[in-house]
Amino acid sequence: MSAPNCLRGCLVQRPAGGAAATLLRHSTVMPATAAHFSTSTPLHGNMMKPQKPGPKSKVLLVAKQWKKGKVADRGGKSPLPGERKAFRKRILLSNNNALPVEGLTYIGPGDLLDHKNVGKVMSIPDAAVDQLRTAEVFKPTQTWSIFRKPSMLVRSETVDLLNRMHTALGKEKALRLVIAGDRITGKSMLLLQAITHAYLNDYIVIHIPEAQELSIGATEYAPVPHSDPVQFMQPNYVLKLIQAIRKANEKLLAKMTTIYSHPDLPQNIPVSSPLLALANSAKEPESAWIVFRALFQELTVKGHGRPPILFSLDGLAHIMKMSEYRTAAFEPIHSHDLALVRLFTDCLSGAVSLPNGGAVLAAMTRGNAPRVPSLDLALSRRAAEQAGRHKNQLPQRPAFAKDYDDRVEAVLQTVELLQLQGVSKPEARSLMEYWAASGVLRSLIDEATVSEKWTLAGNGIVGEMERAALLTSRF
Amino acid sequence: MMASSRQGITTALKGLCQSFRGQWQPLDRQFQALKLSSPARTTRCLSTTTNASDSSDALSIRAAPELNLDAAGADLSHISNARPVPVSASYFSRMSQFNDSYLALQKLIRSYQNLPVISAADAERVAWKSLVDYRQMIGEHVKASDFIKCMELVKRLHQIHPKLKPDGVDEALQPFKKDVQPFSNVPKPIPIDRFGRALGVGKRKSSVARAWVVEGTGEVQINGKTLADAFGRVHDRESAVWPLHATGRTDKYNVWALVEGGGTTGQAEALTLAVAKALLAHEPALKPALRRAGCVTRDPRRVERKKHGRVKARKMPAWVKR
Amino acid sequence: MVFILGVNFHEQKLVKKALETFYALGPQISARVMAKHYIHPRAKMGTLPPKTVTALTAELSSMTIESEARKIVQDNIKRLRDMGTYRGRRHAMGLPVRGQNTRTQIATAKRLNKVERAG
Repeated sequence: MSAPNCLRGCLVQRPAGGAAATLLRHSTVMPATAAHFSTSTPLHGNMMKPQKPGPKSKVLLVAKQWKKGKVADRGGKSPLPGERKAFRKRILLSNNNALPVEGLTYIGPGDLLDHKNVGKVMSIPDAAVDQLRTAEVFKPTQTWSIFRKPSMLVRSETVDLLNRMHTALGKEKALRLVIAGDRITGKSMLLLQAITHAYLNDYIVIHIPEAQELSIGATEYAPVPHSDPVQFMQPNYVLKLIQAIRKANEKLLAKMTTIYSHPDLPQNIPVSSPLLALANSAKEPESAWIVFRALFQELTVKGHGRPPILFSLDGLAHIMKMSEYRTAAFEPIHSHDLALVRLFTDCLSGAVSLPNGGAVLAAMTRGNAPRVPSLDLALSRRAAEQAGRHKNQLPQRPAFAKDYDDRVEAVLQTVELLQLQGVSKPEARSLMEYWAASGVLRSLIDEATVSEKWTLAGNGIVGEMERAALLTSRF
Repeated sequence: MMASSRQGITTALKGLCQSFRGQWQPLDRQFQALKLSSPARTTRCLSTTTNASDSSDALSIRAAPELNLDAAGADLSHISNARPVPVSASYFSRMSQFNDSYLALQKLIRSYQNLPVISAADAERVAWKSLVDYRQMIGEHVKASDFIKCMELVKRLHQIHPKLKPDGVDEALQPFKKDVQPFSNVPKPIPIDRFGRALGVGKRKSSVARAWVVEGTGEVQINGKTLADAFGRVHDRESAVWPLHATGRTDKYNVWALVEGGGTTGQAEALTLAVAKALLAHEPALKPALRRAGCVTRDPRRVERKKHGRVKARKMPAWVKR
Repeated sequence: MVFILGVNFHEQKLVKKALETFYALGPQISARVMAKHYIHPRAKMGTLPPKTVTALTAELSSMTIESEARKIVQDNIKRLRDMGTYRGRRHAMGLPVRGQNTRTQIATAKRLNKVERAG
């Protein structure tokens, strides 16, 4: 841990004699006008202008400040509005400093269904990477940025989940499932694997990357006209979502044609025009929700060469409570009264069916999730059912508790539950071998090392293994 | 003064030194002939001290009867040169008790010098009294050189083969042993129960941990949680399973532990000790390796108490002018 | 720049904060006004459509804020003064009204308490 810091410190902080002067002069030639992490340097022309004062004056200035003990002026500008957040949220999917791994294969359309691939690390094909990036499936907290190309471990849970999706597809039904599990067990990663599989197998993917964006009152809302009881659309968010769907599923949408006439659309879309045109017709936030409804209606027509749909959402707890929005009468709005959320929960509960098969997946999140007792209760009831408990023996809500919500239980009445846990030791070994081959883990991978990290990571929790093995310099 | 002198007299009367026997016996007889008190009271004795040589000399030596000067006052009047005779000649020496016991030891040595002995290393470990302790016990200022000589005898007697050791020896050595014998305080061996579990208990700061270690595949549960849930810091997790890691047995044992009290560091390091002890029950040969890994010794440091006049244990209040 | 009730607000300013710059319009009222016009709690002035801006201006102009609200406060103080009450006198003297100590910490009272109260 200390070695790189020390090296940096030796080189920068204690230049001896003449070296100091050259360093300082050098700093005047290339002034750090931008914050050192800025990714938008070429945007500002004035940055490249040479500084007026000569090298000597700069040296003097620095020396003066040193003596007085003032905070040294680092120079440069403060980041533009939004730049810090953009840096925080940016997603780097490759790193040229990492070693390329020999024998890493790309995931094919059927590879994630094959039990032989359990415990292998496989790469995501570049086309799918673009689609996943468009749909914002990658997260900044995942460690993509330290490897050469985005690759992931195929877990037994992955193969099981995708086989269930595949079986449901054969029956022209949708798999409705909630992914739960402890902190950093890989819930979002499993969702990513399901979405990757969906893209590779020509599903239409509708992905809501952060459920909290819908419910914390950070995006525009307005009542849906003629809805009873009144629902609220979120025009800007839905417009963004339509654009993401359009971009990621462009080829598929271009192939399909509309079969309904949609008279209330802002732009006339005649029958049997491509769905892409319908998606393109969403230009203004005002019409976004209408277009989205029309698009969803077209996609869920039975037959007509419609592909299966994967409708997924990350951060389920955020849409299982009252939202931050208020009605005109200042009543709080339940998240399920937001139109997009309502569509998702209807799909999840089975009220809206996906006749061409597919899946409705909801991942829980543990990092930044509100405590929703009714959600916890509903999931524990589903877990008890799956464990074979009788209907009378399911967990009940506490007798005098008030903060329970019937709408949550209604949505989760018939969903399946996937409780994610740590990886097995062979899977852990394969993952660590991939890390070692990438040059980020410098130790011999043998039974003892794998076992040690597996134990330290709370019996194989993937994120904790990364913490214990890769990210040691952060602590 | 009166009480002490009387005790001195009776004590002296009770013991008798062999070497001076010949000279003292006539006096003894004389003394008994005086019949200063009634025969019924001869068994009573004021003395509170016991002597090792008492039993062996019981037949030849009889304690002088208690003096009853009041009752015998009239009879004493016609005896001009009668005086009480001390039982032991050491009575007139500077360290009467020490000399008595020294002589008793010498006598034992002489009697048993032909018995087989074992080496000092093989003999039972005993913590002997120090000179200071011994002086304090008998209340005499024993000289260091004398004490050393005495202890040589003691240690020689202690080396007599335990199976052949005569009865009186242990009693004779008893006064020279420390009251509390640290070597007899041996820890109970940790049993392995019928499920193959060994329970180790460890403490650190104010945390107490109990760890059940069983052969397995490297799973760890602490208070019903996984290691990752129980300790947020990776360092603490490493501490908790350090004995297994240091001996390369991470994947050979499962640990199920309960830990309470204190903070995370204390709990993690209490677990270190607990797991190490339980591991030693399974494999005692690992002790040197665990000791090198620092898993065997209890860290005795606790929070230092706060003192008055100070802000914390050591911190002084800020200096203020005036 | 967005005009509301004759005041110019920066586009990056939160609507909530902008509304609360008006006298007698606090967090409660601003939340209610925003809910009434379907403005989400973290909206910024720049994102408001012109229709909403005019509606907001109309709404605010019908409320008792700014000079009207000040007038009410001044009338109340004037009434106390005219009746010759202790509270009225304290207002006129620029001292705390409700029995606080006056040795220290009366800067707020000195600044605000007047018959023609401004703030």
